[in-house]
Amino acid sequence: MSRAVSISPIRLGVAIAATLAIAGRASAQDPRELVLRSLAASESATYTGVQVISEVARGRSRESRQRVFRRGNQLRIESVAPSGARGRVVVDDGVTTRIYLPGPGLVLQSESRLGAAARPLRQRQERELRSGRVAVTLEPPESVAGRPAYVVAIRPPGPRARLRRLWIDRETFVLLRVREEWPDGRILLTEFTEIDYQAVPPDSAFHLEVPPGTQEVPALFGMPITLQRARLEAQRWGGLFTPSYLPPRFRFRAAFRFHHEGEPVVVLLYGNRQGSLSLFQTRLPMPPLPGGAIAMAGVSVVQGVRDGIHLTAIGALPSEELRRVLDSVQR
Amino acid sequence: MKCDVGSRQLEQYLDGRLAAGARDAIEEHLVRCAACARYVAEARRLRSLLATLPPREVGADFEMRLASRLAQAPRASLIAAWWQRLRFYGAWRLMPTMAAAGAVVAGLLLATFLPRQPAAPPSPSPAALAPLREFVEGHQTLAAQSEIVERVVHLPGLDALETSLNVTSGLHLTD
Repeated sequence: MSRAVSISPIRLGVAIAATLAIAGRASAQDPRELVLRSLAASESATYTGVQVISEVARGRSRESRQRVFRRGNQLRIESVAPSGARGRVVVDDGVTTRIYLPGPGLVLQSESRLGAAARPLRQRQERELRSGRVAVTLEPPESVAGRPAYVVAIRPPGPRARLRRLWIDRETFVLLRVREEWPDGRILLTEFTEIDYQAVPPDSAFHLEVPPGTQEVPALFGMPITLQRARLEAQRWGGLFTPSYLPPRFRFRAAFRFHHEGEPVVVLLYGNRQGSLSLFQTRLPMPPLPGGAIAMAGVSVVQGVRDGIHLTAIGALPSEELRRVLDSVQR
Repeated sequence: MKCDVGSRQLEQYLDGRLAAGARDAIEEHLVRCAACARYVAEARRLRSLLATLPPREVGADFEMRLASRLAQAPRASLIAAWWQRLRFYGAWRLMPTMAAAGAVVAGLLLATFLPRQPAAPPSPSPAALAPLREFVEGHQTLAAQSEIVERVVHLPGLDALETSLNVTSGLHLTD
């Protein structure tokens, strides 16, 4: 006659809880999972803090300081230092990102970095991390802003990739510090010097008040960046392509870096008083145009591929002129 | 043109009088049919040339004054009168057509003797153009804002704001 084995419910519960705890701790120690949890936390964290960004390049250093207010998918950043940046405010309400620049009296509007529009980019980050293409290693724990933190190093493949170190809050998985190091020796450090998870920002923090007469402009590609910064962004594909030929009196105006279908794109804007042309470059394949050119919405569009980078020149110019610009590009 | 698409459809396409589906079908056809693509390119060139001609306008009472003068005109011989009416009336009724024909002839002559612009390349399908539309729209926005952009790009410390935004939003790992 068989005897049924009875297990006390309490003992069973304790065994299950212990198993889950062990599994949880093991999972938490997986550096890839730590980073993924940190990325997830970045979509919905709540805190108030002071953030410092330090940049060292070519023997020179710069520092800026911001106050950061975060509540779920809403964000406010106020520039505190240097003095020339004081008064700048970023408000992301989960739908729109608005950046107030008091000097020129402008508000630049773009899609929210915390909303649905950024989803392709987040998914791309997750895919990259899970793909195994990126080396992710756990380093000895440290403390940032009085908070114990996991330290994770991330190195994508290739000699041109930048090394990143992340300091992740052990309790909240908020990213407390990021250190980025480029092959040319440039270092960018972004870190919280103070952070308070109990200080919940009020609703008013996520309303952007600007003086009357402030001009609101759409910033489809985000904030403009310098040519130097564009060169840095293009290091990932071997360097920035710039034209050696430009139409008469055309000069460089600004660059932009945005994402299309999750892939980075750099745009260089050139122009004179009468017109402009834009040069897009990306690893993302573009649909081939018959003859490499087309007229669309009153502008010419000319295409080319160089070393696997897809180049597109757009402007209200004859396509032959755009082709000449495109054919003259070099790194 | 030796294909199923007639000139009337192409003219409607050029006038923007086709529904979206029909327009897409014509654009797809233009990719494959060199003759139609040539027709459309020539027609576009002619239209742009005609658009440069000065407009001719008549007063609102033109027809009334014309009828009054006709009524007062001395009667000629039957044949002469008939011929005169035919000429005048026919000419009046045919005037728009004759003006258009004259403009077409003038346009063709101008097109023949003016330096030729290179023929526009044939259009790819609308679906293929979708990824480029964002770029074109972005360029047009930038072009309209180029002076503002140039003011902003030289502001010190903008990079830091962008970095803070990306790091805080969790978008700092994009490479």
